Amino acid sequence: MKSVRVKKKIFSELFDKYYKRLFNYAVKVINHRDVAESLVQETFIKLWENIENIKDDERSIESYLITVLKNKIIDNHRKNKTQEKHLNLYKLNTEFTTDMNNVWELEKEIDDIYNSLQPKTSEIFKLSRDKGLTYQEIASLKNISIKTVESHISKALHTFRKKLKDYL
Amino acid sequence: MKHNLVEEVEIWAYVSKNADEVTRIKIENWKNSNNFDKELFNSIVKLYEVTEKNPFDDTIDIEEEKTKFFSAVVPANRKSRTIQKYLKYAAVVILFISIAGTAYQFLSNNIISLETGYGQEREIILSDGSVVWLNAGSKISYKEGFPRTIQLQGEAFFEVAKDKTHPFTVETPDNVIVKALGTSFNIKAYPENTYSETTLLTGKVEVSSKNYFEEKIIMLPNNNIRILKVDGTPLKTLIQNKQTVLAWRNGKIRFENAPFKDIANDLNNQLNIKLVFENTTIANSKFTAIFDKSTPIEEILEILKASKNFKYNLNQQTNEWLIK
Repeated sequence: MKSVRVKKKIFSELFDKYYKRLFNYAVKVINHRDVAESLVQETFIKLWENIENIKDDERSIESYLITVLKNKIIDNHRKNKTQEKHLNLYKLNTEFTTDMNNVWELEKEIDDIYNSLQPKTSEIFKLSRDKGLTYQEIASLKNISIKTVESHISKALHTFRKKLKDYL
Repeated sequence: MKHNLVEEVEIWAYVSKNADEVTRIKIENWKNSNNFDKELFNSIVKLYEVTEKNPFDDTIDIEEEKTKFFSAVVPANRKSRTIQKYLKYAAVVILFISIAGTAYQFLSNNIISLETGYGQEREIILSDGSVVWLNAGSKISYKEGFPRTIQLQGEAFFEVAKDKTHPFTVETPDNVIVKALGTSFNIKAYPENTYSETTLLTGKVEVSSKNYFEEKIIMLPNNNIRILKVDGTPLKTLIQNKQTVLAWRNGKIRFENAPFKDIANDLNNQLNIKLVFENTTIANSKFTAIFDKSTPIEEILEILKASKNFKYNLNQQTNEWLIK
């Protein structure tokens, strides 16, 4: 059995590694910040309780976290939907589960693409996508030519379109 | 090749609405031409959609989440080595988290804060059994272990558990203090508003103020006290219908003889709609109305316009409504 001190260190690293991705995912699926935050917290608490029983490798831990979180999201969804008294609860839940799984795969894929791009390309693409800057604005911000900005964007677009071709 | 005609980067600029005029016209012409590659265009639109970042991304505080987590799984100042013991605490804390939602417990000074975002409401059961319904854009905080001494910013309805030996006090940002024994009352004290007000439904409360007046005002059921921040005068009125005061708990927004600028503040808190005044006369003119929270803003403005003369239009860039 691991000491609390060791466990705290392990969990601190797990938070750094997975918290953001799990939270982003939960928010995307349930669209509610507070609920997403609570469910991710509960997921980590469950891992804390059970970590002794899980194989000590990255893949097992990651898949444990996402499985628990998905189940929590489904529970939460069912609870809400039962209140709305839907006629075809089964169909609704199945659709929700399928959508939910797709979102996780897609989010993971997008994360991986951002990581596989050159840091500069990622950064410039995000300035365009997330900050909504024009190529001109990015060029003057980064002190590079518009042509260079365009070539980064083009590289990013090319990679995204190739790797996400099943989704686009 | 189609790609000689338009570049992917140009389509991206167009789709992400950051294209210059020349590119915009070029893409629009392309869309109407025989060379239009619908598949390419749609895939870039789709790419734009799926890469959308979640709106809270920049506000995630992993360290804070860690602190919350560790305070849940590892109880402070206990040397017990058995995991079983920790699990008991963890179970309690899971319950706490699921009930309280965002209960931020700051370890440094042990202040517990609970808040609601725009358009949110929340029911909170305090450890002494008192119940607080927190309206949108509001916050309560108290020292851990002292849930009967509360700081409130915004609007909340309190149903206080009886405990004669421990008075229940609520303090607003402008230091109005409402003291109760066992009772139910509503306080509205948004910092941006021109007034703060307390309405008593049952029981008895005492209102005092560090800033505004010396005497203590005793309130009886159905009394409403509104304190204007400009001069601190307390205005006491009898409420005719308590449902009006609690309208917000039923998904309604109410204004009673409230200046337009206070209404604007309510709309901002409850619906995240920003109004900007270009005309101070209209900003200060008063309205009485009640709306469903689902009423579109255009409809609300049209109805208000029927009684006072003003013009409004939406600034698309800033997403603010200009009132003149």
